[in-house]
Amino acid sequence: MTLLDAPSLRTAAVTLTADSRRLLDQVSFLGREWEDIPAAGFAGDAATATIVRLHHLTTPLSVPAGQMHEVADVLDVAAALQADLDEAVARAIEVADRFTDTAPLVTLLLRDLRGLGDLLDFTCARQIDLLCTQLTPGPVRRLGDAGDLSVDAIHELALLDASPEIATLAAEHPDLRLLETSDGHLVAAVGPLDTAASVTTIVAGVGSSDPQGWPTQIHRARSVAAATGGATVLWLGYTAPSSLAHGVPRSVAEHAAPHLRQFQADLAARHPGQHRTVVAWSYGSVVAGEAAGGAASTRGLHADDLVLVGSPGVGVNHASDLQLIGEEPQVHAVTNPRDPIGLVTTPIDGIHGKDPTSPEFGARVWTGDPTGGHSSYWEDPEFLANLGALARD
Amino acid sequence: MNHLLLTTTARDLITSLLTRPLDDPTPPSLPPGSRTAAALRRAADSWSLAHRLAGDQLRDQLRDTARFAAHVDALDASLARSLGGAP
Repeated sequence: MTLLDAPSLRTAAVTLTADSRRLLDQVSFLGREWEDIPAAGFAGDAATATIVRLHHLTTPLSVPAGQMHEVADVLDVAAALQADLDEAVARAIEVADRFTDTAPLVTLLLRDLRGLGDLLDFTCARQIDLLCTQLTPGPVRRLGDAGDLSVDAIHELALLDASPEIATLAAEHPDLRLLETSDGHLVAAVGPLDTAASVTTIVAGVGSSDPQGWPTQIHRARSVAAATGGATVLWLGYTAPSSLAHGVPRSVAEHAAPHLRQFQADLAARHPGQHRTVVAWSYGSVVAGEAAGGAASTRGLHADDLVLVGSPGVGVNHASDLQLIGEEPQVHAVTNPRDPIGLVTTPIDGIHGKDPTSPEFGARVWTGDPTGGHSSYWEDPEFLANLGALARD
Repeated sequence: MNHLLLTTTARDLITSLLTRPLDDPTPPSLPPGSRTAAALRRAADSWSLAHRLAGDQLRDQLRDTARFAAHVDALDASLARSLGGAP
C-alpha cells in the first residue's frame, strides 16, 4: 500500500475547500433566485407552495458541500501529521548517515514511522468513509478486522489501546509486534509475519496470562522463530488459569477455543500460502484440542500441523478427532519423560483425556528430552529442530 | 382563496432557471495507491450522485412550475376569448 504524501493531501484539502465554497455559494444563489420569482410577479397559493418546495429541494445540494468541507479538514490534519512523519524520517536518516553505529536503532525507528504512516492512511480513509458513504467500519479488535493494514501499523494501533503492562512490554521488546490487545489479552508476533513462509502459533497454558511471565514467553517465541526461520505468534488471547488447580476445569478452554479458531482463520485469510503450525503447550493443548475437536458445528482449526507439548490430554480420544484445516494436516505430540504432566494422563484416560503421546491416540510422537521437565521444551535443540522441519516441510 | 398573479417576467424567469445548468462538484483526486485516495474516490462518487439527484428533483419542480404557468396562461387566454364573446 502506497503511503500518503503531505503536499498532495494539502493541495487536495485546499481544492476541496474551494469547491465546497463554490457549491455553497451556488446554493445561496439559488435561494435568492427562488425569491426573485414572486418578486417578478408570481403570487397565489400555488406560487407560494412551489417557492417553498424549491427552497426545500435546494437543501440537499448543500450536503455534498458540507461533507467536502469536513473531508478537507481531515486531509488537512493528515497532511500535517504526514509532514511530521516525513520530517522524522529525514532526521532519522540523517542521524544514521552521521553515526553509523545507530543504524540498527534507526532501522527500528523507520519501521515504526512507516507503520504510523500506514496507520494514518488507514484511519484517514475510514474517517472519509464514515463521513461520506454508507460504509460503517467497526473498531479493529481482531487481526481479521485490520484488512490489509501492515503488521507494523496494527502494532501502532494496538498500542493505542494497550494496557500499561503491554505498552511497557512492547517498549522493552522492540521486535514484538502487537496484534490483538483487547480485554487485557496479548496476541503478538516476532519475526516477519507478513512475509514469512511459515508462522508458528504458541498457545501457552497455566499462568500464561500473568504479565510477569511474558518476557520469558517472548524469549521462547524468539527461539521458535529462529528455529523455523519464520514468524512466531505468542497467542495469549484468553485468560489462562492461574494455577494447576484452576487448570483442571475445561470451561476456560471452551471459552478460549473460538478465539483461537478465529485468530488462525484470520491468519489463513491474510496469508493463505503460509505454512501454519500451532504449538499448544500444557493447558494450551486443551484450548487447541477444544478449538479443533469441540462441538461438531464449530470445529476446525486452521493449521497444517498441531504439536501437543506437555499435554494433559486434549478432550478427544484420537488424533483423527481433531479437525485441522490445512495441507495434509498432522497432529504431533511430545512429553518429556520427567514432565510431571505425565502423571495426570494415561493411555486410557486423564483429566482432559487420553495421553496424546500414547500409541492409542494416533499422533506422530516426538522423542522427549530424557532430562527435560515441563518447561524445558523451548530450550531443547531437538524439539526446536523438529519445529523447524515442520515449517520447512 | 388568494388571487393568482403571473406576469410574463415571472414566466420568463422560471423558463430561464429551468435551462440554467447547475455547477457539479469537482473534487480533487490523490495519487493512486493509498486507502485515502480510494476513499476520496468513493466520497466523490457519493457527492456526484447526491448532487445529481438533488439537481434532478429541483429541475422536476421547476418543470412542473413552468408547466403550471403555461397552463394558467393558456387558460387565461382561452377564458378571455370565451368571455369576450369571440367566436
